[in-house]
Amino acid sequence: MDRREFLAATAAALAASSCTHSKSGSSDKDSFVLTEFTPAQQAKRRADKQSTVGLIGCDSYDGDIFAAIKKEVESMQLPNFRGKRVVLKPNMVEIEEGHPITTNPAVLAAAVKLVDYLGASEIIIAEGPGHMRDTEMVLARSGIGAMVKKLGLRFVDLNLDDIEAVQTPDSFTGLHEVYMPKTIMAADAVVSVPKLKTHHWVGVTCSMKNLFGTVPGRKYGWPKNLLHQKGITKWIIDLQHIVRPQLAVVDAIIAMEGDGPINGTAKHTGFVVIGSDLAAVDATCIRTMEIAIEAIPYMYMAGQVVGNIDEHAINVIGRSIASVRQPFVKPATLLDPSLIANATRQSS
Amino acid sequence: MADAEDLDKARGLVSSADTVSRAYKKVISYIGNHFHDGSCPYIAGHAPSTEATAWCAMALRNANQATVMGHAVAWLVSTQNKDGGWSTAPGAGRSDWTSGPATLALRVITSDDGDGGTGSNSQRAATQRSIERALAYMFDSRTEFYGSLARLLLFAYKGASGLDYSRGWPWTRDCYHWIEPTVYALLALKLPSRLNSGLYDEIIGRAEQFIIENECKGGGWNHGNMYCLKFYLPAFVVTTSEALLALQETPESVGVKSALDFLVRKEPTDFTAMEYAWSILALNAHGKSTDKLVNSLVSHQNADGSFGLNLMVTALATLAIETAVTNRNPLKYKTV
Repeated sequence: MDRREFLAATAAALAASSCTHSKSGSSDKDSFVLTEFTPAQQAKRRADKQSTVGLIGCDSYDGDIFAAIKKEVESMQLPNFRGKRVVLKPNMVEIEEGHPITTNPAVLAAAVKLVDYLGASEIIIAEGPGHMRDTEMVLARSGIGAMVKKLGLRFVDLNLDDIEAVQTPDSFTGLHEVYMPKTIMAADAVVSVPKLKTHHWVGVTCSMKNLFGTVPGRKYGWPKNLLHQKGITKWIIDLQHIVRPQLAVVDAIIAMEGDGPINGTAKHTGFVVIGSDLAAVDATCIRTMEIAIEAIPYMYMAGQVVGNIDEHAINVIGRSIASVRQPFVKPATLLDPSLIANATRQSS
Repeated sequence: MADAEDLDKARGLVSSADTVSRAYKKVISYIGNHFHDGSCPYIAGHAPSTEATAWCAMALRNANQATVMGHAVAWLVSTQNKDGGWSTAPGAGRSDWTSGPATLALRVITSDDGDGGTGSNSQRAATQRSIERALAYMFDSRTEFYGSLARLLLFAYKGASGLDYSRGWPWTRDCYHWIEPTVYALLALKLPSRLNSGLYDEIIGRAEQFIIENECKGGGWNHGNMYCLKFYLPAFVVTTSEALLALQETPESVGVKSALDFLVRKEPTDFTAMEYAWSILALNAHGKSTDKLVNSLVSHQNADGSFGLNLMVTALATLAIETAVTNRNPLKYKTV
């Protein structure tokens, strides 16, 4: 190698390594380096006690989903919402015909009934779609707009809501202050109502990742790129501590496999998952997909500072994991993690 | 032909010029009523929004509402951050992408063509200084793809051409570039007339190249991710229309033609107000007929004159209807 070739190679390598901006994914180091946690951070998690997760069989969206949920409510240790203002946050990230991207309105309606049953005095549906500025379009084409209207509920576009500066507890991303919608911060309780999907950047998206939609587009854009650059994995965890969700109701009647969360294909799974420990809910969902929890870095972090991910610490009621488990087509990045590192370097 | 038109009328798809004109007056009145102390919120009753104020002020600039616009200009100037940019709302942290719409509004409504250039000489001078600071911010806030050491090495190895890569604008400073903030910035640099200098030519050229390079397979644009982790991603109507507005100066390019095909191919019967508004403005800027789209948009107007809860969308709809009422597209470059 002569000096010229050496310089060229060095320039290319440095250019790649100092390429400061990944497009929408996390930085490669963020995805694969596990964070060390202080005892104080770990003490905040609820892992000292057993978590309960309801795995409710629901074969289709046409049946009475709430009736199926209600049978198990008493044994699920669900929060008491009496007199509280509760915000339900579905997944409405984007719309593409033929792809099951958004939370089905029937599951959201069942979640509304559950929250009402648990005593809520005010119920709000709120979401800030991650990829599209036209929330009205996503509401119309997902069917959620019609459902909200039918139930006489209020919808808040979290992308346009008034915002306030919020301090980030622990701040694993290094962002110590973030702007959040007032509707979320003023809520007595937030309920995550996601769609179970594979996710090409983080492996699986479920109740914890769903909270990305609480971050306001009016400040961070469409997509919310700053949060991705600071590390999706760490942001998922920071958001749990900022939003403090109290319940999750997961739409896993028809899930998404393959190149989720947008481009994947429908997979009939036939259940709804409910629980107040979102780490335990997501861990249970991932086990039904035959995806190794160890392959999902944010689950490791969640197990340290959010809740239980250990199978022995989660009491699953209703259906058993074994009875609903089926293999999901994994996103290419789970099969070949180097794709993420390469994509970061190429910024593609 | 007449039969087809009658059928469209029966379906409510054709509005008379009077209907469009009435819709225009009604929406102008609606927006005017939502200006308070020179600013507008996104959603009525909420706190002021920089972006909503910018688009609403633009929408009123042709409607003899000089006082409202004068207040809007004053509000924008007074809420500008020290670095020359704007935040989504006053006091909402670092300057962000809303600097594009704010700069665009200030440039357009205080131009010779706008009606909002009223005020004392000192106010005009303050506005001009504000615009100059805003343009400096626009220059500084572009996405810088490589770190300083990498840029030095690229320069050492390749000379000036090593730094000649395309780039646009981010949503938030120091992030990746995306289609929409890049479009807003380009509109701000080109309207009411293009800023002409070697420096701006270079900035504009690189930003346009960034948009062209990120066109989706099959035509059109999404938010800026045409290919991700081995998969091609689809285009959206809104972002395609926005990109087409930015690329008015390259009407013959393959990318623009295929994007126009993409928009025309889309079945607009269930478009939302935002989709109608952006596509009308884009197709009109490229010389395409938009009569039916305007009529469809007008049919979406609410009884109160709005086009939904989001005042920014109502303002865009106003600009789109203006193309039919005045035969003048406020987002069309003069050079085309």
